[in-house]
This record gives sequence, C-alpha cells and structure tokens, in this order.
Amino acid sequence: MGDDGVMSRVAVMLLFLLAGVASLVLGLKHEVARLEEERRAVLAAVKQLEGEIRVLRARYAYLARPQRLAALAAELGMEPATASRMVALEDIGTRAELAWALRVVALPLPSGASVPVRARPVVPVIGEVGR
Amino acid sequence: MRPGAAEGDELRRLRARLRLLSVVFLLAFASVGMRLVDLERRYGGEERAAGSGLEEQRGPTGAWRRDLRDRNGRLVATSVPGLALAVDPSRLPDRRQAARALARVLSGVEEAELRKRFRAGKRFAWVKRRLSPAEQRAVQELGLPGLLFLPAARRVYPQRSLLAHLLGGVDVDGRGLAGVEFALDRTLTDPRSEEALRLAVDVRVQQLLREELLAAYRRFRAKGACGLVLDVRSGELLALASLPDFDPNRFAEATPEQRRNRCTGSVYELGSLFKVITAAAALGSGRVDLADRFDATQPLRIGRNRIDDDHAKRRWLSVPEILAFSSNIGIVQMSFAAGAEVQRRYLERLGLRDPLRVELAAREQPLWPREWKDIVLATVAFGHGIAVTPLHFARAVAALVGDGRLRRATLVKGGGGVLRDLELPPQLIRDLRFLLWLTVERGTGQRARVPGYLVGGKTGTADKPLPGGRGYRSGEVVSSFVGLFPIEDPRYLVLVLLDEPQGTEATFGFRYGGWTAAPAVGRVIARAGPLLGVPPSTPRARRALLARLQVYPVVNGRTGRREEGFAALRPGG
Repeated sequence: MGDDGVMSRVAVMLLFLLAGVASLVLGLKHEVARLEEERRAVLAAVKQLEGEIRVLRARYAYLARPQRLAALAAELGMEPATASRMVALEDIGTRAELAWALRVVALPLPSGASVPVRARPVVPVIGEVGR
Repeated sequence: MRPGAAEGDELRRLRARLRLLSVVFLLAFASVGMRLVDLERRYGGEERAAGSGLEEQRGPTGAWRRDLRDRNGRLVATSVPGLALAVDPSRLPDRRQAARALARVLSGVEEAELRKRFRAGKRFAWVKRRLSPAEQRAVQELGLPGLLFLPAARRVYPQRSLLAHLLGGVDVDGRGLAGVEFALDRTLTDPRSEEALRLAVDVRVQQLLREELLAAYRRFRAKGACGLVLDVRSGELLALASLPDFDPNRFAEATPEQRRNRCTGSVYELGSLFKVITAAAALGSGRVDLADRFDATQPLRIGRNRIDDDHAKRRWLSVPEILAFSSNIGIVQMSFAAGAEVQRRYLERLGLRDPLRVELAAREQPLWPREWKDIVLATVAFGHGIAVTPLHFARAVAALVGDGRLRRATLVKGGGGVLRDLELPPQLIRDLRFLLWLTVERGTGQRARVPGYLVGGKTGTADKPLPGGRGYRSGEVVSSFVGLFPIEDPRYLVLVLLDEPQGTEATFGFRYGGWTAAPAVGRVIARAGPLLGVPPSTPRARRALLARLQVYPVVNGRTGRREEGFAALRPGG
C-alpha cells in the first residue's frame, strides 16, 4: 500500500471523526434547545400560576370582605366588642385582691343573726364613663 | 513497472478518491439533513401555531398596576391576567357572518358595531377587551381565521363599592380615572416597583362608617352624604365615604352624581360647625375669655340683616353655653370682639383658603369671601358666606383640638406630615376640648354620646345657598356633625355630613345635625373605638371635665333676664 492509500484512509477516518464531532455538537445543540424550551415552558407555567395566585388572592379578599364577615359573625352569634369590655392591664386586680373577693365572711347583726359578706376588689368600675 | 500494474495503481487511486468524495458528499448531505431536522425542531412548532391564526403573542394591553392594600395588609385593588380579543378583518372570509357569529357568543358586543369595526382594508380591530374563559372557548370553537387573543391586565376591586370614592377606577387601557388610581397613577404604574402600596385606610373602619352613613342617608332620604375618619395625630384618613357611590369594577357605568366625591370634591357652607373655629379665634385673641357672657336675649341686627338662633334661649349666654346651644347671636358677638383680622388669620392659618392636597382626583378649592364687611364677618362666624370641603374642615379641627399642628391629610400610610405649627397656647386647646365635650354632654350634640368614651363635637345645620350668591334656598339644608374621641386626648375625628336630609317621625321632622348626623357619628365611635384599640376614658378624665363644668355652669333653660354691663356689639376691624 502506497502513501496515497494511507493518506486517504487517514482522511476518511478524519472525516468520520469530524462527522462524529458534528453530530455530537448537534446533539448538544438540540439538548440546549430542548432545555431552553423547557425553561420557557416552566417560566410560562410560573407566570400562569402567578396569575392564578393573583386571582385567588382577589377571590380571598372578596370572600373576606368585612361586610360578609360581619354577616357571618352575626349568624354565629358573635358580636363586636364595646368600649365597656376593654380594660387596662393595670386596672385588673391582683390575685391577692381577687382572692379576697371570693372569701365569704359571716357578719353578725345586732339581732344576733349573721349575713354573709364579701370584699369588693379594688378595681375601678368599668363602663361608668359617658353614661 | 509494468504497464498493467501502473494502470491498476491508477485505478485504485481513483477508486480511493471516489470513495473519499462519496464520503464527503454523504457527510455533506447528512449535515444538510441534520440541519433541516434541527430547523424543523426549533421553529416548526411555532410556525404551525402561527399558521393557524388562532393565537398570537403581543405585549399586554392595559397597564400592569401595583396592588393596593389597606393599612393592615388587606387587598383592596389588584391586577389579574385576562384576555382581550381582536381580529385582522382582512383575513376574515366573510366579515358580516363573522360579526354575527362573534356577537352571538360574546356578551355586550353588538353585531352592527362589529360590522362597522371590520371595515375593509383594516388589519386590526378590537372585538372585546375583557374576555371570560367561557367566551374564549366559545370563540375558539367558531374556528374563524384572523382572530388574535391578546393578554390584557384587568384591574379588580375585591371590596367592590366599599372604597369607591377612595380608590376611583381605571379605563380599559388601565389608566387611572378617579380617586387614588388617578392621583397616584405614575407611582402605581412604575415598572421599577412591584410592591403593593399601603393605604392609610382601614377596611374595617371604612365598612362600619359606610354602613352607618348609608343608614342615615336612607333614613333621612338625603340627596348625598359624606363621612370620614381622620387620625388626629398623623393626618391619615382611616375611612372616607361619599354617597351615592359606585362599584369601581364598573367605573364606566357610574353616573356623574355617583362619581361626585362630597368629602373632597364639593364645597359646603358648613354652618355651625364653623363656630369651633370662631371660638378658637376669639379665645386665642385674648379678647374673649371662657367666663365672658354675651347678650342673646333678642336677634341681632346688622344693617338690613337679622341674625337669630335656631335653639334660642332669649337670655345672656356664657361662652360655653354659646357653643353648647350653638347660638348664632352669641358667636357673632364673640367674633366681633376678636375682630375680622383675627378671624381671617385663623381661617388662613388653618388651611381653609388653601387648595386641598390629598391623593384624590376630586379636590375642590374653598370659596372665600371677596370682602370682609361686618355682615360677612358675622355670617362667617357661624359658617355661612364661606365654603370649604368637609376634609378641609376636618383637618382644621384636628389641628385645633389635637396638638395645635396643621397636618396634611393623606390616604397613604405614613404619607402625612406637619404643614404648619399654629403655636396655640396649651390652655386654648384644653378650653376647646372642654367646649366640645360640653356640646355633646349638655348641648346640641347629646345624641353622639357613647358609653365608655368621652366624646367632644359640634353640630351644624346650614341653609344651602342659591347659585351665584343670590341668597339661600328655603327648606334645603346641609346637616353635619364633627366628633372627636376620646376628647381628653383626641385620637380620631369622625365627621358625617348629610346633604338635604328630610326629617322623620322619629326626629319630629327636625333635620338639624344634632338629630341626623350626630347619632351616626356616635355609632361610628362606639364601633370603631374598640376596633382601633382606643382604651375607654377613665373616670378621672370625666371628673376633670365635670370639675370645669362647676366653674362654667351651663343651664339648659330660657329666661328673660337681661344682664347689665355688656359692652354693646362692637363691629371688629
């Protein structure tokens, strides 16, 4: 076999190598394109989901509007708080003061009979103002 | 070398070259083929979709706007994705038939209108700007060529008419047309910020204010109504409602009367509400003292004009009594004692001549008297001859009875700020609080009393002026009430105004602010106070006010007794 034969075989081998590399590059390209497409699809899905979340948030806000909640609360027998039910922490009697309120003492009367009495806790009367 | 062998070599070489050439061609064809496969994979699908003419992606129609939330984070306005339908009429095989088919499946679309839009030669025509999913399906089933489904942002107001005048609305292209949507259009469409904008409003307070306002508006068959809740310490508006109102989701359908914002877009002569300002000016001038008394035994005559009291006592009245019984005769004399300059200066310093700066589209300018003659000074003292928006007035009273600083009223959380310090003596602020408490405790505002809170306030009933300043309409009034709570250290101001209310059997036909607006304010305070975490007034605060009542007694009775030594009416200058 002469030099030409060797050369042509090497050339054929190189060409096959080239074809192999080309197909590899093409494969990579396709993979990139596929991933790109997948990314686009995921982004589109994210966008759509974001839109759906926005719709759901709007729906939730609509369902939780105060007018509807007030009607539902009334149905459940709940009623709004009034100022007379509010009390400052410092106005609440201590445990010791409240313990006195629970203690019943028999108070003897001049007639000889006795009546049960209880101490009133030292807290202001709430709801007295503005009446 | 033999000739046969040489030929054989030549032949082999040729064959080898031919093989090489065929491999090269094979590879070339293979690469072209692979490229074709590549192109088909990359673009083939999209070409198919575009070829059908069913969907084409364009930029969204309708601007994407930032969400709006209330002060506690409740959603009050948002943009949701939607679809709009357009068509390329040149691609329709039969425009008339297409118009008929589309009008059949789409609500609110007229066939004749579509035919007009599908004129020959046009390449683009809108069919419907807001498409429901069901409509989208129905249109797709028609199988018409040349249809374009375009993404379109749609503005949604989940609270519906609750915040109508506050939020306003947008057009089909997403441009703000009224309310906050108009005033803050640029901020809301700024692409650099996607975060929701926090408003000052509290939807819970807004709900109860609108509910009470609507009840009063219906009960007294008023032409219109305005209500607002203002944070005295920050200038933030926790609620603002005007009736009649509309659904912002259907802004285009609202009538001009429904779109009118009576709180900021209309000016009113507020009548006796202005006595608060006159009293502040008179007491602040140092020329009138809380212990002074004025002759209210008979109507006052200024030129050809006669000034009388609605709740006439026909006796001498102390300053607290003038406020508590809303005496026009008394307040005019207080105003004259202070003088026109003082009165004007107070009105100006309280921002009652300035244009309103608030994040709303509707902002009306006050109507200021052209010249300050005696009769003008007299009528301004009890709120006639000068017209301001209810918000102008609310802001001014909040400054007088709050901490003496005039604040910018705002609809954006944290958007307030001090406009000017009025430099009021602390004693004047205390006196004004006492006078307003007295008006609710013993005077015309008793129907605004609330268990648990000490409330201060002032009633107002004003005749409505004829257009062009040609006198007043008979029988048409504006009734109002401004209330502050807790009056010992005011946190919130509540104002209710009824435009042309009618008396009822329960009010004995009366349309006074004390009968119509005051009860509504009282109910708003009773409901909003606990919601806003305002602790009930202490018995100590009540005792302090009652102690002042011992010094300045208020007698709710009529006498014919005339007192000596009163310096007669002194027109001020």
